[in-house]
Amino acid sequence: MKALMVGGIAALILGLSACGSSSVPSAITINFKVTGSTITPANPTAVKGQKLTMVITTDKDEEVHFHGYDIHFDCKANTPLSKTLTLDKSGSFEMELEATSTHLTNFTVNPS
Amino acid sequence: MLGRTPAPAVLAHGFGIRYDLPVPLYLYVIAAGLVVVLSFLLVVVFVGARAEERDYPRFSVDRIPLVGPVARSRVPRVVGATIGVLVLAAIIVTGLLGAPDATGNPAEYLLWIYFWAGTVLVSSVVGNLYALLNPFSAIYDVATRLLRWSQGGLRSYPERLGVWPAAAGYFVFAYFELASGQSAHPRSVAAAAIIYTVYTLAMMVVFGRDAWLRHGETFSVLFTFIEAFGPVEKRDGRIYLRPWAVGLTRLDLEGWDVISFVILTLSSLAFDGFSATPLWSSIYLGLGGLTDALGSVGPPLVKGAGLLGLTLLFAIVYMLFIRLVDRAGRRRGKLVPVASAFAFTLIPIALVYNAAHNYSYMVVQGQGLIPLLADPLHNGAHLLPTAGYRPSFALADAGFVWYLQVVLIVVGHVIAVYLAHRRALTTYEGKAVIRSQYPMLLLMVMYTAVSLWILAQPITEAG
Repeated sequence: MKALMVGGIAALILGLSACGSSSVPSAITINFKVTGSTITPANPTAVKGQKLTMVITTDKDEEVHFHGYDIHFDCKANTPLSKTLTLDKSGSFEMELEATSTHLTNFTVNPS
Repeated sequence: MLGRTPAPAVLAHGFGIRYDLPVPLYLYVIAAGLVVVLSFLLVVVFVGARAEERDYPRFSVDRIPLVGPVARSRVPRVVGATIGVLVLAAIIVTGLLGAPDATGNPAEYLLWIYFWAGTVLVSSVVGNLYALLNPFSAIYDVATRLLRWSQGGLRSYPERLGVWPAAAGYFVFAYFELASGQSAHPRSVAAAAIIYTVYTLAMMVVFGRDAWLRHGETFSVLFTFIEAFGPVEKRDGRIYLRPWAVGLTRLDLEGWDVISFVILTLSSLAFDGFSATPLWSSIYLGLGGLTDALGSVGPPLVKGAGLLGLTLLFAIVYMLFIRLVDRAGRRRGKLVPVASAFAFTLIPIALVYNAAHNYSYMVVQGQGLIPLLADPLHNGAHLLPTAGYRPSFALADAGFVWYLQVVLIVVGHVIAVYLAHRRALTTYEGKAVIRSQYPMLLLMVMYTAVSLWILAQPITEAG
């Protein structure tokens, strides 16, 4: 009985360590489009360690704030603005329209 | 969401933004499985155990040179009380005079992160810090000494009220934090601090300092539960170190008041997590017509009802399981003593859930206070060269946080199962001991699943 349980726990721990480590591209580009208070893609995700290029196009003059990484995009209407960063922290980071504190979406950076 | 003010992401939780990622499904399943396996392992260990009241190992602090005398002197309380009074004063002053927004005002960080999330977590690890910090009893002590008043109070505390005043205070505090919509307003935080200070001082004048701290002062009562979990024990005027959690077996408070208080600590934490889940979001939006019809009191009323409803649900489920436990234990008599005895075994669950739920919020959001130290009152001052500080995420890597959360939840529930077994040994006899624990085991596994389910939910915003 006890041996069985110890075995079970060992199997669980092994299974745990086997997870993870699949290959992801080292650099990605995501094109965002902001119309009013909606953004596409609606659920952006990336993986920690990736080099991310964010291109943001807004329908009017807007300041888009990417929380956590604390990056501000001062967008002019219909003019793509691009910034590149290395994703060095994982988590769920808010993107918002700074002027009106309007929540756009949360950018998910998964752990590598 | 038309007609309602747009909510900045997830403000249910006092204030501020949460950066943590939900626990992935595979970890959830592993953790839930581990709890079941470890719990049954404990049952196996306890089969045939005898009901001898074994004491746990203790280590006398007095044996350590320097530490012992200092620990028993007045120094820790004087230092703690000074910090406590300064923090209370800072909450009131910066709350009233500082920036009007939550993230720019130190009062919000001090109350919700450093006191509420932080002091509770640290106290469960190192021992009751609130007993040292308590600013209300410090103000009272100094005032009564200056005015040469006796500390006995004007009348004696009605014992039949038990800790109901403290439990009621806890509900009001949880409502203020999670449902009122006021917790992210620095002015409201300052007002609440002033009201609670005046109320507490008045009650100490009426009923005497110690009587009110034991029964009415919400945080003092809450921290006696946390103290019982912590590793510091005061017994017969001496100070000991002991393993964590075992002190809970020595708590012998009894009554509906105590049961309600313990259930509230669990349910308010669960509501905090639950109110960020898509399920609550859809319930809340489903009630949109009702909420709108009620106008500005709608959201706090609906959320308050949610908090109350979840508390009642937890209480009903708990009492149902206690009935099953008692039936399986073949003991006839009142349920209240049994329900009280087992209620304390739930405290580790509340504490680990608190730690798992608040960890990344604390280590990241807590740093937000640092840049504010340069200009705490938002009047352009440059007191410290910290204005440009940006929070570091070094301690909040999502992968690390997941494992930490899962380990905490599993360990907390296994401790709870262990404590419940020890309680059963002193409550029931013979084979009934183990039998009585099957319903309890089921309850604990259910609690684990619910805690993990909340931690595994995508974080959404509601109202």
